Amino acid sequence: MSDFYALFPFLPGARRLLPENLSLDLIPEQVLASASSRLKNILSKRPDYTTVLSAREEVFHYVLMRLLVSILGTDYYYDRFARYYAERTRRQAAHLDDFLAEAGADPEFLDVPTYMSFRHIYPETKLYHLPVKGGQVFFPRRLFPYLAGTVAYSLVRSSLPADVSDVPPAFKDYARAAVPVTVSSGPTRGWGFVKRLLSAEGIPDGKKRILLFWIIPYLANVKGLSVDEVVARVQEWLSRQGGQKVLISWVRSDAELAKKKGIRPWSLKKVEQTDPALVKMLREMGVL
Amino acid sequence: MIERLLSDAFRRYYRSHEVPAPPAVERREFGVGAYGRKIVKRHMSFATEREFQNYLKTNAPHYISYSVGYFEYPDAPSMEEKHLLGADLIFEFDSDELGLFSPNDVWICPHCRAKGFVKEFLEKGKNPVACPRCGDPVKVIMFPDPDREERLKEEVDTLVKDFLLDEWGLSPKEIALNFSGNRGYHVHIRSDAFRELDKDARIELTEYITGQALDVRYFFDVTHYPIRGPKPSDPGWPGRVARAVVRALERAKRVSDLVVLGMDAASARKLFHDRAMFVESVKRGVWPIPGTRGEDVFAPIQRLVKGLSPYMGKEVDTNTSVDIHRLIRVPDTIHGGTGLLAKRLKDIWSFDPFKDAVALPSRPELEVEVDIAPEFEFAGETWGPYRNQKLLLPLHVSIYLMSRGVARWTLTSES
Repeated sequence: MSDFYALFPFLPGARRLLPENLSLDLIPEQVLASASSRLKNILSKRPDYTTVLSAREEVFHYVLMRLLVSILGTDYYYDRFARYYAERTRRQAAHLDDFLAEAGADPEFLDVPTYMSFRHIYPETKLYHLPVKGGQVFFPRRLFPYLAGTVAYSLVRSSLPADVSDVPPAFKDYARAAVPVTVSSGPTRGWGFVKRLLSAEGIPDGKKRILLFWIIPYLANVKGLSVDEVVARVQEWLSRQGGQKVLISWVRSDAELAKKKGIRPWSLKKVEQTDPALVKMLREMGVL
Repeated sequence: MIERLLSDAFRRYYRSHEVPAPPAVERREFGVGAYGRKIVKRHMSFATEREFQNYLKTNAPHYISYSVGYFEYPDAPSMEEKHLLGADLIFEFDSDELGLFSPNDVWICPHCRAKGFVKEFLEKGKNPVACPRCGDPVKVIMFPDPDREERLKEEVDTLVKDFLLDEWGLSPKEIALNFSGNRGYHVHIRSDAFRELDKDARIELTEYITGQALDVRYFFDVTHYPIRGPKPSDPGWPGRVARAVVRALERAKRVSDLVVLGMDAASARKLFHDRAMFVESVKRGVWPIPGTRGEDVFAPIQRLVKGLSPYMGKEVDTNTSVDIHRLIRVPDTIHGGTGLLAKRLKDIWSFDPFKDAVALPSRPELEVEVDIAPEFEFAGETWGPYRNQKLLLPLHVSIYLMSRGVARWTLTSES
């Protein structure tokens, strides 16, 4: 049974493995650091070696990581965190029946709106390829792993963000440490901060402003790339970010304008004066 | 001049009829249009139904549309600032998109200005595609045709009953149906459960209805022999496909009926002779499909899928269903192009758009020059046929003919 909760620490039943009167102040630094580093792996899609942990440790880690990701406070990270557990659940074929029973999910179907809200987890299970009747999507046995993954996603996602009002201040540093930012090895002077932005992942808001102020002018007029190259590079950058979609047609027209007028990237100081919220957000994420 | 005439007629209509505002009127963005332009101003909002009705009575716009989306600030100038809260799901059915031609329709060549009736094409077993004189693509102008209306209603009925009520489990209260005011119908889904779905989810739901992206190979388990597949009693598309296959086999009178589905002659012959056994087997979920090596045995089944969707496998513009920022005609308002009412419907079968949705009065009469028009029923009377004639016609018929692009107003008669 302990293996079971180690695999699915987010299930309601797993909570009884937590000590009563759990006080966050008494959590050893070492445990917090290890949860933070695991979260960083999860958020940056690196492999996560969890099999060495006991069920109790796993549940404990899950609770801590849930708090840390809630401090980061972006939809993009919640989604990535929940997807990690969805994928882990999908792979545990031997436990799927037990998992669905514990999760309180019907092992055979989901209602259409719930399925549609979570179907992006496994887009290969298109609605029109599944039997649908009376507002219920029926899952053939071979798609049970996908159903379980979808249920796991919804369970994790629905508990986020967690209430972090009573969390000790030290958690904030560990949350920041979990942000998966790969900083370029290039010079930190001059346009170093734009290079950091280019290598950043998971920026949920302000993408258009970042592109407008810095990235597009930098690529077009500092690096001297052609408009097509700029668009391709920005497209790749956008694929690593969260939040709403940015239209490529907008990127292209902006790149053309930057190229035509020779617009240089704005300095950090200038943006800080005109748009302090953007710079503050990027600093909090650890990108700048 | 025509604008003023129409505005007066619209104002008279709106002053004598209370048009109900769309649900959650305070959360909707509105756009209005003038003669010949569907949207000239958008980002408008009304706080109450009374405010909306007063606007119609005072301004009598030629077109008024509302957003399928619900916004926190519907009158904000940009979409980002409006802050989307959710959106209805809309399905649009237009007879021209579904390619339902009637012998009564008129074709016009935009290049050489040749024109005629579609029956000239249909009698030769052709569809009105290319101009017989210059070979350029022709434009088909549709005129009222009871058979086409029946067919369109059947497709809308299939969507509502089979897909929305039976499969998606919606309640009739969550579905609203209205005539578009021109060539088709709009089906509005106002379910809380569907309101917050994103664009990708809407694309998938639309694909569910059109069947465009469906791949029948997903329904079969080829690890068994004979292949295991859907039963006719199965729900959703798998069952629909199985029922279609059974129906096609039961209706097949000769081998060639199966060959036209894309089967090779040898497989078709074998299947035709064993069809009774095959149908019985399919009913149990076992598909002993005969196939030759290298042949895609699922291709004929895939071909059958096309005819099963309410859109009849046609490449329709599904933007209305997918675009959550779209504006769509407010039900029970007048379509400025045709003078017909975008009427809310309780029972689609008892509705005759060219009688029940006529909103404009017959007076004043207009003198119009009609290029070509067949005999057609409109506002409870029979009109036409006309060919290159100058006529004095009631306002509603004149506007309808002008909206079809087959008539021009020459001068007003105050009779």
